[in-house]
Amino acid sequence: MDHSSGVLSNQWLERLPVARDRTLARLAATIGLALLAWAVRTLADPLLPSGFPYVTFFPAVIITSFLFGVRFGALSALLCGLLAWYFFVVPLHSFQISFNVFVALAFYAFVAATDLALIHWMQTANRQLIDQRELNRELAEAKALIVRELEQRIRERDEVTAHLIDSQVQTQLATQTAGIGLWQWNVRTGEVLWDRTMFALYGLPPTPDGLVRYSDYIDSLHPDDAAQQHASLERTAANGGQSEREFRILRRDDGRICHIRAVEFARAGPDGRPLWVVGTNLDVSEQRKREAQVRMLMGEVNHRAKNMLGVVMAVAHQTGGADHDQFMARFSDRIASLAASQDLLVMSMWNGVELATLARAQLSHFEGLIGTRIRMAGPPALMSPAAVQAIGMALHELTTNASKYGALSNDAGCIEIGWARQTDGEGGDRFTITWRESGGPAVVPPTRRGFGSTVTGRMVQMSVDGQVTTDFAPGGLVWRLDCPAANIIDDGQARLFDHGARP
Amino acid sequence: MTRHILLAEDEAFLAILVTEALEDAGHAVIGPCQTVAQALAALAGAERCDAAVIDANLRGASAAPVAEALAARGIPFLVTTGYLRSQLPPVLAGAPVLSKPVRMAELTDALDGLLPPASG
Repeated sequence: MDHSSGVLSNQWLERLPVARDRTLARLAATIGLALLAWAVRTLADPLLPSGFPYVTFFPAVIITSFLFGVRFGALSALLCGLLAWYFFVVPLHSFQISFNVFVALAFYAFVAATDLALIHWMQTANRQLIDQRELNRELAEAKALIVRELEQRIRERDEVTAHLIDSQVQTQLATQTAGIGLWQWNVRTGEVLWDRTMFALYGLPPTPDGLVRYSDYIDSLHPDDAAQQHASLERTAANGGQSEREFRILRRDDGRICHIRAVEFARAGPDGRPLWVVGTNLDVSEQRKREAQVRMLMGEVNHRAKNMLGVVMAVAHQTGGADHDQFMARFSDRIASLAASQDLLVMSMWNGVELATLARAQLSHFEGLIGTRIRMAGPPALMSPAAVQAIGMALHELTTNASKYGALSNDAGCIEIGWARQTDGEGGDRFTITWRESGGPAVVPPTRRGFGSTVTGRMVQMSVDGQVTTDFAPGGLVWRLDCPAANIIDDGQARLFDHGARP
Repeated sequence: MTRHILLAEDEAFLAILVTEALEDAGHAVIGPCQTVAQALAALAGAERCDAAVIDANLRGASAAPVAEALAARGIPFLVTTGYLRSQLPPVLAGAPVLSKPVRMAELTDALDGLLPPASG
């Protein structure tokens, strides 16, 4: 209660002086209060001893001043002074002045002025207090605002920090999975900070704090690339830019050369001078190796394709025929035979073809006879890629000849294809292939040596450095090849794609 | 006058074709040789060799040693190959290179360009 009444009286006091913007009302009230004081003094006159002319006018001046301000207080003092002088100072009802009257008026003026001054000071102090309190309130509001703002910022920073930590963990996981090494180079101190992937890439044991001297890093580079890499990093740091390039390193643990693809990004310090270079390293050795392999293979494919075109040209050159249709039929058969051998080589990835498989492919027109009229006998014999084409072509020509003139030209003839490897203690193994026909029409030795005989004779001999005998025996043709086994059998040395064929 | 030409070609079909073309043009063929060793032996054993036609790759090995032996004796030679000239070692790439497949007329013409004019 006390507190609220105190607040109320304070609020009332703070409103003083009242009616600040209504001058006429204040003037009327001032005059009213002076007249009231005059009326009370007149009524109280019989009760008072002589000599108290101002007694009711002082309260009027004080109250006016208190309520309406010092200027109206001064007006009230003037009015009341005149009223008291005229009505209550002897001689009454006159403004006559004497020494005594002058002293009384001077006292009145002094007391009234003192009252006005005191009230003025009090009101000035009061206004200052109000201003001060208003200022304090504004300050308190500003402070609350700042505190709220700070709390908001702290919350945001905490969120950002949490986000950053998440992001860092994700980045670390991603780079580790992808084998990307991350590093930072402090340009001022020369210190280099590596993550674990970097140590793994360079074949170095990780240091506890991940720090590496810049000079150690440069020492890990391939000697041919170190100077350029150093210059490039210096340039990136100086320009505050970004760079991307490849260089080689010598792994410290096994000395292996690795191709590294690097991206670098420079950051300047607050003073604008280069402070940090951050970057990534990725091992692209496998990619480089594969590219080199592809280039080598493309070269090989080109070489083989050109060689094959040369062979096709030679076959075309040597294939005869009475007319275009006959030529085309023979030529197409021969190209098909080359293609069949090629297919087998591709299927085995150039790792050799079994002789039985090759013979079946070249006898594919007579597949139904294999096992009955056509018999094959021999141990497993993986033929080298170089021999496959020549032997395949020879088997094709023998088959064509048999179908035209020999054992496959009637319904009863038989062919035996046999092969064997003979070990002779001295100069290495020999390999023989025998094609023996029987039951066909009577054999007539050819009068003219055509392409077929070139293939089964000279071409095969040349290809495998062997001896061919062709016996046109009356009972059936016998063709026999005898050559060093090493020239026909793939013992694993003739891997065309990995023994580094070079022009 | 019969010229003696060393032929080193490991592809038998091509060796036969080139041999016939050279013989048709009136040359005598030394070989055909299938390997570097055969070619070097044939060269060493030949009484006379006027020029050579060599395949850049003989059974998977570079024919560069044959080219070097020819160059050492001052014998001109042609190189036939399925590879690009840029893939050849300098001693082979420096000689006239005929890209496979080689047309026989092209081969004999190029060979004529290498040989000194017949002197009687």
